[in-house]
Amino acid sequence: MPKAIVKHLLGEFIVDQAGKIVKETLADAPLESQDPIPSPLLTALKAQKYRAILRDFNLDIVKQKIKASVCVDNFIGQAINSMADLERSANQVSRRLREWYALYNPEFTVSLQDNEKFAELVATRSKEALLADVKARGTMGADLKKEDLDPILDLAALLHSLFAQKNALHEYLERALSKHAPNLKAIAGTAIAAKLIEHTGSLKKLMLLPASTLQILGAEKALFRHLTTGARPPKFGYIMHHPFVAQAPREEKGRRARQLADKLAMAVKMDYFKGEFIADRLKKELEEKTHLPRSKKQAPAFPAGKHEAPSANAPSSKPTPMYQKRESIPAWVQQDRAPGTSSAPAPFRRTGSPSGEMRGFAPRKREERIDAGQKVPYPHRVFNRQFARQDGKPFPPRSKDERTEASPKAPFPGAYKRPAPFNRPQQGFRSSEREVQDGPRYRKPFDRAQQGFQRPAEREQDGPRYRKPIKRFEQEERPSYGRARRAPAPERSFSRGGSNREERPAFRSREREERGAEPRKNSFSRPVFNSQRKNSSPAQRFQKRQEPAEEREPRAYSRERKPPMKRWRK
Amino acid sequence: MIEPSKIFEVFQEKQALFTKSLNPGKKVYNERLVIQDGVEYRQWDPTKSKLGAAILRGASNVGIRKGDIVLYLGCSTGTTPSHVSDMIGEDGFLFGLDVAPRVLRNFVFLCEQRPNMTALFEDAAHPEQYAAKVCEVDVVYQDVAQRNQAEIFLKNCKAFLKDGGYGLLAVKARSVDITKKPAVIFREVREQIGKELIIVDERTLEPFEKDHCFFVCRKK
Repeated sequence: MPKAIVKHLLGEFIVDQAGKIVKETLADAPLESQDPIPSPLLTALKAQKYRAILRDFNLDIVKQKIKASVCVDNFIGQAINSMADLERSANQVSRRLREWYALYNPEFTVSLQDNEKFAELVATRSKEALLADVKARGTMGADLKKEDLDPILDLAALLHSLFAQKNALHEYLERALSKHAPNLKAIAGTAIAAKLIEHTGSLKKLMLLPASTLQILGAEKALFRHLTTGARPPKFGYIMHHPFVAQAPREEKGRRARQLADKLAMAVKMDYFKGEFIADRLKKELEEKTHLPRSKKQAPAFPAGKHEAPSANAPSSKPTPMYQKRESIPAWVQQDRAPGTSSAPAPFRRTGSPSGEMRGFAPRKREERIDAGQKVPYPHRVFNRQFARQDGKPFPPRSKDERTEASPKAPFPGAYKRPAPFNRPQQGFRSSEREVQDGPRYRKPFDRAQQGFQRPAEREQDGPRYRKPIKRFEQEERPSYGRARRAPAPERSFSRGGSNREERPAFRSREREERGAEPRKNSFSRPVFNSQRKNSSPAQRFQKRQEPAEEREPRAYSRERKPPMKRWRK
Repeated sequence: MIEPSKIFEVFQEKQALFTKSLNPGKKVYNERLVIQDGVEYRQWDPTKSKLGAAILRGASNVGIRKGDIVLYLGCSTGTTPSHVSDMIGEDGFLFGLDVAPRVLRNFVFLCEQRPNMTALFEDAAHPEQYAAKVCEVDVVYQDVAQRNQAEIFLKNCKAFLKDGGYGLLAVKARSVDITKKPAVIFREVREQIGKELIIVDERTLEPFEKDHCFFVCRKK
């Protein structure tokens, strides 16, 4: 009869064809096994006698595995989190220390912004020395006894050590990362590299992520908001703080985040598989691809020779379509990479500019591009977003005289006519000057109280001069048929003796009385109109208004609840 | 007054659930301990345990009996497993399985306090990797927040659950697909596991957990 040996954690089992145990050899230590276990054997192992061994062996294995699972990724994660904790604590302690120390030496406290330096100096130097440094003439600080001063200096020493610890952690992270993930560290920087590893859990998991995920790591909240509500997707997560992204102009940030994430993904893969150091190449590519400005000087958006702004009557300031811009980039990128290989002039490069500008991006505003002393044709302000006209529409008129209906530039009569200023002096004049000359150009609003206006006494006696409009059907008096399905309001005759007898509620109730039926009580079944109510006529209501209101207990409001707005008309 | 509830091995006092403590005097997750007639009960917090929540939501049968062997996938730090361990008693046995070393570390400490539990550091999605470390079980309980929860559950039921044994599955809709409505996901899971198992009970855990559903199934 054919038999098989099956290895299990517990030991070796010889099973027959049906899977029943023929012979068992229990091991002393847990066995490694990847064998498929036949189900009759699994069933047999349920027996009570195997329980204790199963438990102990498994626990042994788990302990070993947990021990083995600790690696440098964990240390990096803890270190970066610890750095964040320290920074938070240091800021908090700094605030307190400044507040406390300022009682003693306010002049020095306000003169130094840097918390780290402040803690160090307070802990190590005397008040006199610090005051001499800031060249203060006298001090507002109190003279403290030693017992009062000591706690302050102790706190300063503690703060100083907090900063020292934070710096030590940063150095530790740098060392750990340059060994563990040199490429990632070189491109992302220590803090971001550590944060990425910490967030995913390990370098392996980070390596398995695509660049697009890497790009938005740390922006989960925004991502899920995008997925669930359709809000705009996040452009970047932790890499937002990378100078390559952070220092980009706003409209460029998303693209740069994507490009950076691409390179990071490559770098991580290199790091995980212990590949060569490619960070320099990746960084260079990144700089070239995104035409990162090498200097702080901004470059013109237009090629040389077309430096003037488009004139007002021939507006050609349409933005260059994105695809055209992108097409034209590779030419000079090529040239930049290997100078001399291509003689084609770089389309965006301008030599001999008055200010020696370099290539780069279009600055957002035209003003930024105007060099000192350069003559600039009219109107540079049109490039301000606020003033620019889109798509062939005429520019605003150059002068005040043009702003007329007769102007041929106006797209339609009255286009540039502003609404008359209301209660304001005319524009272009400062009201104070005008007033000095010939008094204000506008009338001040009439203020009754100022004029000593008094309401005639007899008016108050005979009631108000106006009548409140009669509302026959107030909102709350409408019959309610429920919220969702409100029945159409019954046809009502607004005069008391309406022509429609059936519709007259008074008539119907009389009819019921004649029949000997009970008068209806349920207000839900039958609408009750104002006309049927007491004090329903305008005169009666007016009468009622004159009566003093009933005294009510003031209603107790809970704290959260706002008291209702006071009725402004009684 | 703590009295037996309609679920086996679970006790109830009004809306509070209890299990008889297997390890008297020890708290697992800072729960309340109550001694009545010389027996110590541990209160079961339904907001921390999906099984507890399912019972409070009125699940008629959760399939766990005294002396059962349970395979618990996604045991985490052992909040629910400790109550399951109470329910199955000294004769029962529980394999707790998780992929995260951090939470499993706490679970190992719990296992050392209780003779009827052990831990496995494995990925529930690959049952073949730990087939040689377990035995056949009476109950499979799964609470893993994975995209393919139902698939993992079926794999494990197929591999380790005895015929007629119970499978308990806590589905977290938000980790399956955030864009779909939870009700749609629950229906898909129901259809998927209904092909291979008999669904005995299904509860949403609404006041205790958001967008969660608890399935109780029996193997054919």
